[in-house]
Amino acid sequence: MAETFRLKIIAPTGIFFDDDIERIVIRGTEGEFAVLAEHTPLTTSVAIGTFNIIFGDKKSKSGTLLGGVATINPRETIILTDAAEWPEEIDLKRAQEAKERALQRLKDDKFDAARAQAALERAIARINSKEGL
Amino acid sequence: MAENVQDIKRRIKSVNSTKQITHAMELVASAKLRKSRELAEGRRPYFEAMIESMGRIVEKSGSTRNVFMNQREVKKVAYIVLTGDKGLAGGYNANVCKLVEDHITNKEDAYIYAVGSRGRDHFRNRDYTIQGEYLGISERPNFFNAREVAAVVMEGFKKGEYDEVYVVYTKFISTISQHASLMKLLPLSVEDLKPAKKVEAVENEGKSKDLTVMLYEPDPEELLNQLIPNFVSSTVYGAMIESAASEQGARRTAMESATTNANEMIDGLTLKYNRVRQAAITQEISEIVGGAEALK
Repeated sequence: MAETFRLKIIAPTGIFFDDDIERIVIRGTEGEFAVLAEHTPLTTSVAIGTFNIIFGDKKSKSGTLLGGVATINPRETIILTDAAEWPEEIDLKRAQEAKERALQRLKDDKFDAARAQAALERAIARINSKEGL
Repeated sequence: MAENVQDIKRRIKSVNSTKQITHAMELVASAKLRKSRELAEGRRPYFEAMIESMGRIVEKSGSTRNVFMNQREVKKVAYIVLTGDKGLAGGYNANVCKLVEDHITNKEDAYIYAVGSRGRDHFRNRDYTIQGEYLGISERPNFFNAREVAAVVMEGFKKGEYDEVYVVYTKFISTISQHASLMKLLPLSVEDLKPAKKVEAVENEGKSKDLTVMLYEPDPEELLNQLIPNFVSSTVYGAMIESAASEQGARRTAMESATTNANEMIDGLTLKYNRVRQAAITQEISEIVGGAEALK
């Protein structure tokens, strides 16, 4: 069995995930990356996107991270995120509506483009996570 | 003893129905208080982890070049005033407003961001500059509300509209004790981020794992830029939930004492009622006896 390390995903509303895992794949702002045990200490920013956890027994679980910062240490990784969700918690219809709305707003000058862009990214991440189920 | 039996009876009835209302409010506040406290507990791990990683970055980069850490000469000050949307919570709203007023030295140089209609009304009636108002979120604040408020004040701070930002909230000490407090939000002070780190460093000395160099990607400056808005939002959020819990606590205490007072009043009135009734009966009997005597 491969080595495991501790992963904590903490959102403002509480601890979202706290368990020993073998590997996690996250979308960072600089690109997608995987973390295994004994990773070199690294602090990096996390983009809006999906993540995938593989447990010691090869079972896997994925979810959505809505941006944040990951602090990686050899034996422990802490991800501070604005919000995290499991696919079960995502309302696909709502996400699709949000996507449409965001696309509309991007075309329109009245709205803040950066905010619409962020909303669009969130919606897409949610849809991807749900459909990858 | 001029009151007659009917009047007293009516008063007892009215006090009793008021008592029922205050008692119901007390129960509702207790239930909400429990929920708010759970929320407040849930926030703690995030906040602690956040301070830790920020402290580490600040320590490593040693930079105070960030605009939000710049101490400027203080001319204009912004206040985020956290009050409730409803009254009947003892001194809860008044204490916060009073604290802000005491802290303001010059009315013209103060900007108010009011969260909760009570605070807004208070400052509007006194002709303060209300820069922003956020209603309907005091009771159940969520992180996104907090981020919105934080983003607005950070923007204002960056543009130089004001040189300091304070959050005025009610600290939740226990279910029966809450204190209005004033906390400086911006500029951030580097010292604030360090103490927690020190304790941990001592603990880790034996393991000496901290010696491995932490890598940053992107560079610390940029990460800090990303973390600071989160830190500010999280601080505001924390203050919001604590205020929400305090509001419920204050209301519960106020309603509890109102219920007790109502009970005392009912007791007093019942005693009076019985005395008046007794007096009336006694008088009637003596009248009858007197009448019977006269007939003999």
